Amino acid sequence: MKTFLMIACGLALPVLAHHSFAMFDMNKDVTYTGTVMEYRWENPHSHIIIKIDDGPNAGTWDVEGGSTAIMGRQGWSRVTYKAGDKATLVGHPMRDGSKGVSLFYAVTADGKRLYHDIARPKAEGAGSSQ
Amino acid sequence: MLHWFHWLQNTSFATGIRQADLLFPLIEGTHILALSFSVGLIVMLDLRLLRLAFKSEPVSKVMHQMMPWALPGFAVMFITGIVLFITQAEKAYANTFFRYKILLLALAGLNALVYQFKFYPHMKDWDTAPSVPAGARFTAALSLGLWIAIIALGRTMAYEL
Repeated sequence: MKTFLMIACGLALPVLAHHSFAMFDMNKDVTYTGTVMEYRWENPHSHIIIKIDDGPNAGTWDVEGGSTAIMGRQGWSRVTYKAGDKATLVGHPMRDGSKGVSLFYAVTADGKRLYHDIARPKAEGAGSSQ
Repeated sequence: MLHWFHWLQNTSFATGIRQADLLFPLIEGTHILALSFSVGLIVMLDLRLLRLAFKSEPVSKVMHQMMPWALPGFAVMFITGIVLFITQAEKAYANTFFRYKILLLALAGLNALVYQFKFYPHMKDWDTAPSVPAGARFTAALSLGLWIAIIALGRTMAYEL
């Protein structure tokens, strides 16, 4: 079973990403609530530029999602957000402290999770990412 | 320059490819796979010049067997590379790794020209000889180093958001 899982993970990872998640701190799930400045629906990664006015995360963040195909399969589209929208995004911040984030999921107005990924790698013992 | 790249990236051609679910990964994948036909075979020629592979074969034979595959491979890699650049011109222009990649590509091109015009015309003198002129060996070693660095930089580009 363990071998099967290792093979399955090995096969799944390259499909998920244009690059690995090494530059992000995958053990941190941070919530970013603010105003969408720009929504870029594109490959190899979609981006949501979000501005947070106050609090510890104040500033403009570049939240990177997956490819249009991966996000499209999970309910995202080119009209999910537009500039000026309020958004709540949960993601993993860059390790180097710069204002970049790997998107984990968005929380829609009715409180549902809008996934952008099927599974994300986590450090050993950090629990499931689902 | 940035102004021009901004325009280029926002043409309908660039936007269409950038937002295409299948076309974009196909172009990206083709760019990478074409490496095996171009750089992969250039590496073989470099190894022959350095006498690390195909030692018993004349250099001319190795070269004439490899080039009909390496040149079309290079053309595919070059064209898909240009298309990928167009789809994200502004971002690529600002990317430090991409800038070094282009610089090293230019050096690799110059290095190939040096080999082609300085050493290739006299190939018959050392085609089957137990040694290759130091200058030609130098271009081979430089080519190996440059291509490894170019591929590494191309890959690392993705790690700048």
